[in-house]
Amino acid sequence: MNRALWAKSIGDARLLLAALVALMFGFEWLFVWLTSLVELGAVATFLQAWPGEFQSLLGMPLAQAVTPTGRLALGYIDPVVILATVTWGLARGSDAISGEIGRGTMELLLAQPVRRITIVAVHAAVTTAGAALIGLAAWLGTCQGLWAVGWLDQVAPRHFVSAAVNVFALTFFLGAASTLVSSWESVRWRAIGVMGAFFIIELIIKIIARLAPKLDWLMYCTVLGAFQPQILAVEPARAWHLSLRYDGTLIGLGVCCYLLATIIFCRRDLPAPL
Amino acid sequence: MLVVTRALTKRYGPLTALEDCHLQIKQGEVFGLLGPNGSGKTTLLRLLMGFLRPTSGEAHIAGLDCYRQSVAVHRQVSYLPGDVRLFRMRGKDVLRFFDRVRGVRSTTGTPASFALAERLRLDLSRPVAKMSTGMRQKLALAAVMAVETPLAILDEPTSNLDPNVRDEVLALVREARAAGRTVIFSSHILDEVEQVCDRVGILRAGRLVYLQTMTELRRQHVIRGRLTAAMPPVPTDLRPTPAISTSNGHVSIETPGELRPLLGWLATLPLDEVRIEPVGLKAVYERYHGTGLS
Repeated sequence: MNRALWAKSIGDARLLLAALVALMFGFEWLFVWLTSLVELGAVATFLQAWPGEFQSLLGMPLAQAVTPTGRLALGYIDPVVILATVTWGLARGSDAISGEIGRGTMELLLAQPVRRITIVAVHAAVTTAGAALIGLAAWLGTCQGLWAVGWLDQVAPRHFVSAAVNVFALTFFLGAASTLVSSWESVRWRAIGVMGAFFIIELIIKIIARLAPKLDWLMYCTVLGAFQPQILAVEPARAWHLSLRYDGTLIGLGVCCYLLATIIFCRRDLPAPL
Repeated sequence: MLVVTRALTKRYGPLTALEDCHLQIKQGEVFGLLGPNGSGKTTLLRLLMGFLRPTSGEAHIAGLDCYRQSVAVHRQVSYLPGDVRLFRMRGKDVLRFFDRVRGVRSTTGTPASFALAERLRLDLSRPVAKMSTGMRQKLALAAVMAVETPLAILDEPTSNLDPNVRDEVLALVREARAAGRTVIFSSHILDEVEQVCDRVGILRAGRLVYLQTMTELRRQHVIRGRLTAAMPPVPTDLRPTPAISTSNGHVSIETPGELRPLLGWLATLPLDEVRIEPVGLKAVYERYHGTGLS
């Protein structure tokens, strides 16, 4: 693979990646610190006051949610984490093909002796590495927080490894799915719009599945059913088994999306810049 | 032949962008491609670059299929798009990127693209985002013309450039020809095409309607004058046979080839106010596309 393409792809990604890695690390660290400020009993009383349907939104039994590990695991399904994963996945995926076409730079890029598959592969590799760094930053933030508040004797950092891997898997899937949309689009914002709408629909399906026990089968209809980092953290005994199921689903779907995106991009006409 | 297209056709649904294009361009030739917007010039160039899949027909560069072997083709071609958009980098980083992506290594210390940028009086320290359209055009030209590929495809290379730099670009095209490179030069500026091209092709509504060498075109003349008596018939043994049209007592005689064999006959004609002019590319172009072009 071409070193110039690697350098360009890393250069394009570095600012956003640095910001998101810092956000994830800082947020998880802050989350641990804030959690340590609230008494265990107070959390239990607060959560027990919630109606049963809303307790189900936690995605784990109340008894587990009020443990130190359970409370910290909620930091992996916080909207800040979701925002970071969605931002990275959509920004990078939409940029892969429709972004370059929209800016008119794909024409000059493809005029070089470079295969189209190489362009997708380099972009995908950098996006995947970025997703891994975001997941790693979340875990390191948790570790740093545990060390800072002196909870290392109560909560084992290794319990959050599988949660961080699940965050990586979701980010990987979002990057791949966005690349797929990007592969047939010529306007980046349209690709972001399609993926944004897809994510919101998936989120609504997941929330309905959680709130309505009769419709819990809907959890199998959304890819977000495979995003359960809080369960992976509180059930260390089953973590790797569940991880295989959840992460396998997300990564498997992501790989399929990348393959499809490559096929579509390699076969499509390159439109003239708008 | 370096470039060969056979029955090359591109359709977008009901719209035909290029139809049944047969073209051959030899090594070391500067080929001018003319036509108004939407005539199929850019479609032809994009088909040669393998950006578009032909609906039918085929295109080859150096014996390689332009669509199926596009990577190998791109090793033979440097391409300047009509609408230059560059990466958000500094000028020098853009040139470095293209040098690296093509694996170009300088033997003299200064990369050829940097030397060319200097010749085009371009400030490479400036970020692309802060460059004017003309500066971006110069930067792209430096990147494209510095690569010593057998074929350079230039889509409107002088648009947005000031007259001095235009002359420099035309000089670069001549140097490329002198070095044995082939250039496909697409332009709206007929004067430039006349200056640098060896052969021209005119596209109209997706069809290649005219092909001629500039040497042949330069031999053609039009003689205009006022008739002082009835126009006598053209001698049957006169070769080449001129095309004659009369209107309101004026005559226009177009020579299909050299003027010299006709001079004796012309001297016998009852003409006044005689003007002899080369036919020129503009007149040929206007035959196919009317007036209103430079």
